[in-house]
Amino acid sequence: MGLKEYTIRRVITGLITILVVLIFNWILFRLPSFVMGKDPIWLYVIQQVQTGMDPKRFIALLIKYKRLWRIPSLHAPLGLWIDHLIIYLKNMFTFNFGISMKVAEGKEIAPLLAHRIMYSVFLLLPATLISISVGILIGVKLGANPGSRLDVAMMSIALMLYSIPIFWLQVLLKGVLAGQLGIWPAAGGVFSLPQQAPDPLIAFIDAFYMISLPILTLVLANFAGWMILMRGSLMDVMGEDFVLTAKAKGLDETTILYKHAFRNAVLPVVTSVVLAIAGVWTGAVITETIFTIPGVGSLLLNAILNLDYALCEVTFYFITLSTIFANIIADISYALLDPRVKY
Amino acid sequence: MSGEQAEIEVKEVIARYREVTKVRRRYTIRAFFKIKRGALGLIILVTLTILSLLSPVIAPNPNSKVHSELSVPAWLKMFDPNAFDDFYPLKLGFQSAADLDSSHVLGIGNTSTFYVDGIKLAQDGYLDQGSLMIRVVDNHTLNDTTLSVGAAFLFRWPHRKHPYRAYFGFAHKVEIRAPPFINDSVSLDPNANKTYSLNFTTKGIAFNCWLSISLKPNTGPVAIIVNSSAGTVILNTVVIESTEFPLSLNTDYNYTITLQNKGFVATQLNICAVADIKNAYSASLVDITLNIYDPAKGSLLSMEELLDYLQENGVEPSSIMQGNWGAAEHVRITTFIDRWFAFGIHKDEPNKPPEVMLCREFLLSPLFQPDQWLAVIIEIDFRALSSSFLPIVKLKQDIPGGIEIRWYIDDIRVQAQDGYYGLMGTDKDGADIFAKIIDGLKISLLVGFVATIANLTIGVSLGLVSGYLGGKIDEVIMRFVDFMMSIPTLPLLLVLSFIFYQMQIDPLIAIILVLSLLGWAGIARVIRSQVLALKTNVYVEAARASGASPFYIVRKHILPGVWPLVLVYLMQGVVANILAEASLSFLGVLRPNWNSLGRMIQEASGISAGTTGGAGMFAVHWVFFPGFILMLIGYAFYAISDAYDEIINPKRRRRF
Repeated sequence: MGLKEYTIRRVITGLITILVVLIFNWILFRLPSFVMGKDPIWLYVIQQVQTGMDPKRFIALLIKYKRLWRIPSLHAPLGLWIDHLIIYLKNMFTFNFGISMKVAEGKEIAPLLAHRIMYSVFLLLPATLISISVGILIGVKLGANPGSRLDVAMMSIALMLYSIPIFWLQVLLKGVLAGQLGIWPAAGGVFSLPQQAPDPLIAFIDAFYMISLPILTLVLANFAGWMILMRGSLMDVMGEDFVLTAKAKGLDETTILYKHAFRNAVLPVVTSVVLAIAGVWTGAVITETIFTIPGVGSLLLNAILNLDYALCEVTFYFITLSTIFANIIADISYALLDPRVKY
Repeated sequence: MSGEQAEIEVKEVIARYREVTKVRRRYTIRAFFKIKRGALGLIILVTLTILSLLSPVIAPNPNSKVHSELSVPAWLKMFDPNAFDDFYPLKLGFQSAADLDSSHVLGIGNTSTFYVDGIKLAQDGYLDQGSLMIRVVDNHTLNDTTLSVGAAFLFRWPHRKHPYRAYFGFAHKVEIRAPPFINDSVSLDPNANKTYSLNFTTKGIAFNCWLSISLKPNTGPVAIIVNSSAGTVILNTVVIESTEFPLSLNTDYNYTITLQNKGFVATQLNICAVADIKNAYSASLVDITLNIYDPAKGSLLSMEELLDYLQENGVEPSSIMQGNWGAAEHVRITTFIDRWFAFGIHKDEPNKPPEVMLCREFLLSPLFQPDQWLAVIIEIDFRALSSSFLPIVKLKQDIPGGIEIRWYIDDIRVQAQDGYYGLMGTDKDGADIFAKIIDGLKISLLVGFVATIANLTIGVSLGLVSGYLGGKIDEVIMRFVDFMMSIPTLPLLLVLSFIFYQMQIDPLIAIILVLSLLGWAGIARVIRSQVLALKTNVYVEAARASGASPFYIVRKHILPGVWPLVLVYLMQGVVANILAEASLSFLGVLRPNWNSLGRMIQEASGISAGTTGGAGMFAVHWVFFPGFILMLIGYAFYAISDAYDEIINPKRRRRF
């Protein structure tokens, strides 16, 4: 099977996964009403009124929000439910997401999501790139001389960073650096993206300064993973025969490391790199919450905490969709780069 | 070779096999403890588990206030040369007259109309016998409706450093008494009469009065007739034992009370008529203020002097709440008549430190200067409760001796705290962080272990089935595993928690369910590949050829090969699940109602319900310790699994 067929097959399996995810999502969000024995809309309305929304205003929104009205009652025949599922799938595939009921009252979800993606990318793209480069740079150093003093030290740090909760590190750094010492601006905060400010350049620098602390914490939390990946991969390659041959030929260490070993060792890392970079718009729930960055992750959390079903459904669908696409891209890129891979 | 011999040989082989297993196990355990990391990890883990299991004994009430809020850990004291232990600069139980020396009564608000009759020790007390009694008599003017009485209690501040927090507590009781119009003890012969008359100078007031008669036993009966000057008979009755009568009187008339012995023996009796004055005054408000005492002058600073002093020390006058005699936080508390009311101290736990803050933070440093004398002033306002009771206050000129107010004060305490407490300090509610942590650790470990065992059960059984059977089943299971692994974990965790929250499942069960349902996919995949490798072994083939059932082969030949991997995954899975539980609690999706380490960090970060939080309440130790414990747990599990891996993994054994 050639690369072309592999790609096609991978895309098709990806699409099937998306379909399964959609159906899974659809069932998941209708499960509570079945378990509680209440009509979906009633459950929704009751909860919203309980959490302090004006019922009249809410019903006005419901009328506006036609997709929700199409949800059949609990005891409706199966056919109606299947019709509903088909409409739902059609809406989801055509990005007709409807409106948010609570978090952004009455606003369309699709533009809201698009707006939030910018913030997530602005946070996660630099963070991911920096942590990948730092991780790979250190990882190469460690993989070339396993067992050295640097190796032991860095691996202990990695172990430590692995076992700490990232939110703890972030809360501490935010509290100390931004709160008590005041070195950083009020920790992330709702910054404005450059195009909304009068002077784009200054606004950009400003925004980047604001977001540098969350980026720093993300790099601290993530670089160790890349480091270990690179180190392990390089150590495997360094043990292979062609490296031994190169050594026997009398090539110097640097040439062996960068010309022979590194090129082979970086292949498995590339998959993860593609996966990580392709996933930057899915947001980081915890980081965005702590540093109050209005990204996709904090949107999901807000939707969940405010019981905004529709928004929650769509955001989760979006995150899953992005991850599946990232997976597909990663798999194909790996097949593209490594000719040895068997499809 | 006979069958018997073969039997014996097989038995020998089995016995040797057992021997070897035993030796290997012993070797493994010994080797494990030789690796320092592994032993350390195990010690940490065992210690934390024992602590968390003992938490109901060590910390029965983890959320109760034990010290001033945001106190830092006590061991930090060694870096602070001026640190002091918590102590009571003022603690008065009024057991003896010596306690009166440190207190003096300031006087009263409306000076001309009331006078303080003196202070003395009273028998009655709150926690024990003895209290300070201030007696105020109100007997002059007609129209005053308010009087305020204050008492100052002096103490000296001995330390170089001002306290981190100063707490205050006291108990008091108010009695309001009217001396009786008539209070007489008479002896009546049979058929003898005795008449008393009530003449009022106040006019136009109706009020209630209690007439009480106490008779000696086996005497009487006695007739009581109360006549008003308007000619009506208010009371006409015969009593045979001690009784009380309510009388409605009107000061426009005069009254005569006649007693007549209707019996055949001489009778001793007491008669008492007293105005019902209990509700005439209310003392609903008590102010507590602080002032500086000048020992040279022998008096407190005046309000102007005090405000000037505070302003010199950088306190904005606008932020100071001012009482009549002092400038500090003044707390308004409730008082009940004829009942002890304790403010900040507990009758059941008399040795517990008081709970009410004496003054706000910015006043601590100017007021609590080294060797400064300070006065806590307790001030009480007596008011005529409402216009309907005003008549009775007016009546006081007809009450012989005036209305008497007795104010009892007891168990005055000021506790100075230096903001150092325990192993890990306290949180914003003054609760012990260590107690909260070991309380929450219980849940963390429970959730971690239960969820991981569930993960392993699902993952290992699916992996075994998939790897051993292969074919269509393998394909289906692996597609499902792929599907589970392609969904990002944290969002799925959040959404599942949301769904379980909607189903109104108990949060603890929900969190275990959510974590059990996720996290098995990776295990299944690894176990499957391991099974695929083990399956090709000759002994498996031999077992299959000799007709062993698949279940038997998996149990006897494949599971033992998978077992070390399962143990490693158990260690890693517990850490992952504990961290996941902490993250979910931190984000607050399931609204956990227990002390969770994640929830503690969330509280400390000031982030609530996914919205923003200020760094105002941030304290490093408050955030640090819950996360540090999580880190310790993580380290312990990783160290144990790493040490174990080092023993069982032949590759690593060679390298080190």
